[in-house]
Amino acid sequence: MTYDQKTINAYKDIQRIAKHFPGRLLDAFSCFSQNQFDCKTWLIDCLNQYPYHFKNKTKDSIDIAILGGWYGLMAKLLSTNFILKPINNIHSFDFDPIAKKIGKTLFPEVTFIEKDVTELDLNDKHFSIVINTSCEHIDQKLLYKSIDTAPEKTLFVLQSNNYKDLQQHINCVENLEQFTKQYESRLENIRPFELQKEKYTRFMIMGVKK
Amino acid sequence: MLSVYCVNWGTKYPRDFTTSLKESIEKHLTIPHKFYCYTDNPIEDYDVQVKYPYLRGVWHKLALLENTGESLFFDQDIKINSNIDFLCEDFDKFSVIDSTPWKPKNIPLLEFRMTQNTLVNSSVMRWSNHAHIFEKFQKHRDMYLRLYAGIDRYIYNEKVEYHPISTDKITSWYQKIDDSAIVLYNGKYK
Repeated sequence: MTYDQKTINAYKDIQRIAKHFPGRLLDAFSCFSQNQFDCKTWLIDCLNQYPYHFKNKTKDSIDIAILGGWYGLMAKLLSTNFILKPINNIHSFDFDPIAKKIGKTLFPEVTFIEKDVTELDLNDKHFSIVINTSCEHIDQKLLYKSIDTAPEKTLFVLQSNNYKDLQQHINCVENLEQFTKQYESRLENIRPFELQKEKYTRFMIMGVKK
Repeated sequence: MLSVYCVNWGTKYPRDFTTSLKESIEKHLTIPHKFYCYTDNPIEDYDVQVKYPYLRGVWHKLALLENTGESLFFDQDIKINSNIDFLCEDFDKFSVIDSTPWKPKNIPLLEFRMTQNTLVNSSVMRWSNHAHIFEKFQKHRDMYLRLYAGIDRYIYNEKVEYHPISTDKITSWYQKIDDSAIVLYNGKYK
């Protein structure tokens, strides 16, 4: 085991969560697991290679929205690893008020917004990229709504999987083809990706809103 | 008329459990009632198809709270030994069993809170007009399913307003008492 200041800082964070939100400690461990890290860094690696023609070309930097951002891992990894364009702001949306409190403590550079995906209207925002890595948790109608309310040319990055054993997974897909098909009428220039995990396959598409 | 519900979802409990439960309720509940079994595999005339197919296992119990009128619920894994008319009161409150009599007394508080543990048991529930409890769950279902393995932890940790049924007429097999009116075999069948 490596033991340095980073390790000590990580333990301090765990201690803070255990003290103030003990019921969330196990949930936070799930959020920051190896699997979550792998799936999110994979997303960023693929995104950094996507030939996306940014809709607000005059802007020097872009805003990114994460839907269902949990404790902010996706936002944090993006803030340090996204290379296509400078980031102005990353908004991590999640209904969960405690996720926001914990996330703000861990990643103060991320803007956490307490809002339910069901109530989210992206039309008045100016996000160049919208990311949702938990499509398998969300009703399909709501997923479509999140795309339909966004301005044209917004880049959507969506992940789902075929792991039906978890009780939260109410909207899994069987394969990448099915996942892609769900969005063909709404997105163009779709790039599909697949990541084989031990117990399931993770699917990802990137596409620009028509 | 009083409605008596149970849920048999998936393959955990064979049909015999439901048949046996129905028969023992008929024998030990003298108050007029109608029996319903919510299931994903309706066979009998008292079976009702579960309304939310995407929910798993015990969460269908919570969905029963959408039904109004004087209602009782029983888990499949209970044994009724004698008269249970004593349950037919206080329907204006949402009631679940107080599980403190069989909970270990020495669980450290931090461990109890970290594991989102609970002091209620929903093997028996009583209600009349409490659909709002399920509505609250549905509004942020994904978060609750992520945080809680079952509805007892949801009820206890999400501060759902409940009335604890505290009586020695209901016991758990953990207490090694098998002659109470209702014995719960909670956690025995995996």
